[in-house]
Amino acid sequence: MAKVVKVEFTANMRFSIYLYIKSNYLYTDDQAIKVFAFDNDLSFQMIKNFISGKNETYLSQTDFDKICSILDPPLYIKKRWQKMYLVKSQLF
Amino acid sequence: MNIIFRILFKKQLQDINNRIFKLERSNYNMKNQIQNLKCYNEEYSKLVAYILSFSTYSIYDKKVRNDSTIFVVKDESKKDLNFYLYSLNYRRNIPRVFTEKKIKYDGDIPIYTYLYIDDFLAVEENIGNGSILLNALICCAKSLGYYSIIGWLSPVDREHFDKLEYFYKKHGFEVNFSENKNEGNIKLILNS
Repeated sequence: MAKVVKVEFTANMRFSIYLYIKSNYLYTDDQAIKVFAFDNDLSFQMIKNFISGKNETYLSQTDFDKICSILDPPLYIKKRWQKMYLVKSQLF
Repeated sequence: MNIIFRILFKKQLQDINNRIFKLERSNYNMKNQIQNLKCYNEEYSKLVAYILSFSTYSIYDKKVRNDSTIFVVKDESKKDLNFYLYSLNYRRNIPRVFTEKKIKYDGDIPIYTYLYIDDFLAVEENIGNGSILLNALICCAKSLGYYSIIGWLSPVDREHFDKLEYFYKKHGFEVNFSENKNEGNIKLILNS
């Protein structure tokens, strides 16, 4: 990846990731996600499922931290994402 | 004497034995059911305790579907209003809707308050999760005096725009798409 295009993130993390990928990888949706996942040592299926809101709607702490370090959102957005998408340890 | 008795009342004795057998079987089943209910009750108690361990959570409503209780949980803070569906069936992916509380200004003058949907994750389709969440959100927003609920249909969900359009229209929303149907807006006026 040659350049890093800064994008304006919203509280919707699924769209924010998609926007970041589409702005920085000029391929079709699936190809762009594949290259992004490969570049950042993330699972393609996990990212794809998360963006589509199917099967996996939460992120593990490791994946969440990794994605946040790549996207680098403002702190208030990160806190909102944390509440919305970071998996909680289910104690029931 | 005993033998004569057995011969004379053979049929009656057989009936009594059958009844005893049925009662024992029913007793065994009942014990099993009580045991299962005890376990189930214990799990529900744990679930309720878990929900109430969050200071901003409260149980807003309760629904029963396929012998399973679904807790509609409201999570309200100063800036946001969210709803979750907690059930013993949803341990990993919790169906949920997140909204932000916003104020519409005209210059510096606040005109009305509204809710902006950040994300809506019904998790499973066609089983009513979305409707339970949206009904709870609309009902709560009305009671809190919000003027409207608005949201954006983002390109990541464009494959389901037809379904989403039907779903939001069913709940009284106005739905508009961009020319190339790559994104859209939804709006529901609550206090017209």
